[in-house]
Amino acid sequence: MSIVNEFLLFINVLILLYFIVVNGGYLFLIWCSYRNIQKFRDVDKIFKMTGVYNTNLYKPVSIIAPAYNEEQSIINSVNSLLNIIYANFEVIVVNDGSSDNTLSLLIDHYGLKPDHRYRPKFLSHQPIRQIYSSPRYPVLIVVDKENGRKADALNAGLNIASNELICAVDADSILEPDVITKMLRVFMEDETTIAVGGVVRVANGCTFKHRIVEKVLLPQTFLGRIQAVEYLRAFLFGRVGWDYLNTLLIISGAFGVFDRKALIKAGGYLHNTVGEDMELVLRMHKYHRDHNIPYRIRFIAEPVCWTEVPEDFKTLSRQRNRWQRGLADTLYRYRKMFFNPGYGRIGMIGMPFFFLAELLSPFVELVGLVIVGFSWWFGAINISFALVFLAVAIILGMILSVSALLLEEMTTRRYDRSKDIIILAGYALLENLGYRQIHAWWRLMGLLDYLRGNKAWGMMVRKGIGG
Amino acid sequence: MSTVIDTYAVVIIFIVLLMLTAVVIILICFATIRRSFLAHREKQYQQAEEKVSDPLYAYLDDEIDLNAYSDVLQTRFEIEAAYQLVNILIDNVKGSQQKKLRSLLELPKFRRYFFARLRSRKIMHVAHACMYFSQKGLIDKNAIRRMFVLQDHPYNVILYASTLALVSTAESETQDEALKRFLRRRNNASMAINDIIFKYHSHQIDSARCAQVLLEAVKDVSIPDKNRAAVISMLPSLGFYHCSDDLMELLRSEVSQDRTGILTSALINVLKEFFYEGLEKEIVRQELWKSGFQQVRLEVVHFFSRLHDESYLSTLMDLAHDPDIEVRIAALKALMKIQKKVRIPDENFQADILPEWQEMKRSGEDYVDS
Repeated sequence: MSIVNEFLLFINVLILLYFIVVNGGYLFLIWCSYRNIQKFRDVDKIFKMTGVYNTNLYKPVSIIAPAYNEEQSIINSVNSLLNIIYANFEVIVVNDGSSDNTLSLLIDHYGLKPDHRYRPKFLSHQPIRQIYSSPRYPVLIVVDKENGRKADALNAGLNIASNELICAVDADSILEPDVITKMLRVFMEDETTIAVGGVVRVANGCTFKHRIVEKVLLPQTFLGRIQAVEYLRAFLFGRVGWDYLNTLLIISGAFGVFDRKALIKAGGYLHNTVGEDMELVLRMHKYHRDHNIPYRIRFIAEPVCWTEVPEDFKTLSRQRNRWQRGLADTLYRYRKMFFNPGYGRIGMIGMPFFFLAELLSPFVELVGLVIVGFSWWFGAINISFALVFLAVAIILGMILSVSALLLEEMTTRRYDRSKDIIILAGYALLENLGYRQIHAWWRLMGLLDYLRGNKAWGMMVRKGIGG
Repeated sequence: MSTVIDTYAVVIIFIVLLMLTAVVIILICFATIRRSFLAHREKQYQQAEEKVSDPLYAYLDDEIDLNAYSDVLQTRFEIEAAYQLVNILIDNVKGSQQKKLRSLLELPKFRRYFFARLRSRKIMHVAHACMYFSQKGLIDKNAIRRMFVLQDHPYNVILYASTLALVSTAESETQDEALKRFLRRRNNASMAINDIIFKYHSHQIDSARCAQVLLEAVKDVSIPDKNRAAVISMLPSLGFYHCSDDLMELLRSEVSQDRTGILTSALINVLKEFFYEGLEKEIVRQELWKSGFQQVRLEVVHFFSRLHDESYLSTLMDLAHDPDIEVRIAALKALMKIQKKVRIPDENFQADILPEWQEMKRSGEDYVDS
């Protein structure tokens, strides 16, 4: 065997080991998710029972919804926020310098009037042009500010929020009416909780009545359905599993509840990153560990926020590119936490796994496929090795995706028809044959863009949901 | 390029494919068979509901007696359905009908069923049973003993449900003991404590006694400080203004032992709510604005803000340079109010604080939140 062939074999073995470690890690996460779901499934049911946890003494919540050019969906989204069933809450919509009719629609629809009240500046952000309140909806506050992107808008909302807890939610998303009550279960059980994330689901294809999901149906398009599987995988076994290990590194920017003081003390949202959600969670971990403050960052399987996902390749590629840049940026910022025992499981398990399984995966997946094909062609590896590689890299990926659907069936069963779950299982298998490789390409481009210093948010095309 | 597949590869590929097949089959079973099973159970429950509802209305209309209704309840679905129905009706009827429903809950069939559930390993069953026993007026010695044991359950939700049931019983000793045991638990969240105290209070006939028990809890050093602080914070909402002297005494005596500041800040906050006269003097005596705890300094600033007293100008000016931003902003707001009486020159503020101060002045005092 030539030296080149030996070298190729060595590389192939490394790639195979990578897939074994990563997919093995994910299989372990599935087990953790299963345990976590088993542990809390009944607690969630009890929480819904009349009498238990039925109180008017919950901490008040400020819901902050940053909006940028959301004229398609803003009224439906704000209505869904105003529809929340909760004893004490306020809704703060931050118009982040939209160039469309977002603000005028809000002013007209809710009869907003300027509010000159002084609000302290705990966190810095772009100048506020005007604050509005609504005589008709006393819980609604609209902030009109110069454009500064999502993190900046969230910081402005945080300064204006007056309640102990804040719920950050995308203005193009729709919350289920009892979502805050469900999230509060965690704050009610553990005083040290500073942040809680909940499940975000794909709204495309669902029907809505009075801004509430009436029927949970599958998206109509291929990309929509693939993303329905992706979201279930990311939330039901990814984050639920990490929560079980007390190693949660990310709470989706689309939906999360935070202790306002803890968030402000950690420094609020960071402006110059496109991965502000993960960056914030890591900073909160770091702050609390550095200052030796007991804390918990949790994720619960049930609460639901419905979001519209992009259904065209161009928008989706931009979104995934941005997510990958955000991941790279965050992991680089907190590189000192890697393998640092002072940060416990976050530094020793969570971050290294994210680096290996999320950041490096597009590179290894694509390069791996090319190298394996090339090596087989040139005789560096035999067909057995190539097939084992495919089994570990692709079929295990299928198992992971189908398992996410299984967890969905074991927990919420939000899809009314069993047919839909079986169709999604088909997409979970298909996802690994083509889409996953395209997705890896987008993420690889995201990595390269990060290295080039690209910090653009990228235009999102939305049709609007909840109408 | 070899095309011969060795045995190991075949075994690995076979195992992986087998795993995939197994997961897909399990998923299909879950999506079909389990769903059918759940639908069947739902149907059984509905049938049970239909079976027990007419006799229930007949019982309320005095057409059948308690024993006849008891005979209707044969299966667990029927017992559960009947319990749910009674639960819904009991809050919507009054007088004799409500009394009749309460006596229905005392049926041995219900008691036996839920007592068995108190011993279940499933937390859902236990919580359900606790809710049954928390129905006002239900006293069952065995159940009470069991629920005291459940107060040590590893799941907070069961601790909470059992405490709720115990504070809802008609015996005041049981209620007091349950509350104290609950408060001694270290990992209770303040929201849960507030809720339990609220419900404990709502089941008390003698308000003075209730206040006494809560005050004892506040003074009990075996209860964690954060739980004591949560009890203190509940006193104004329960209207226990007469507790202020005792709270003041606590502020005088215990502050030096307060290791987190949480107790002191709760005491200042509540005494401020009570407009307690001696509070100002005590804050000055102990110079609490110099406290090492942020929340204590913040409460002191809020208190000064309410006083509008220019004699605290220099203290507030110092607090406007506090390392904590929340204290700083609260101090600036308090200064805005004093500004009406005394002119405060801008030179008194450092460059980093000045913009906030200017912005506040621009907004005008009326628009500054207190």
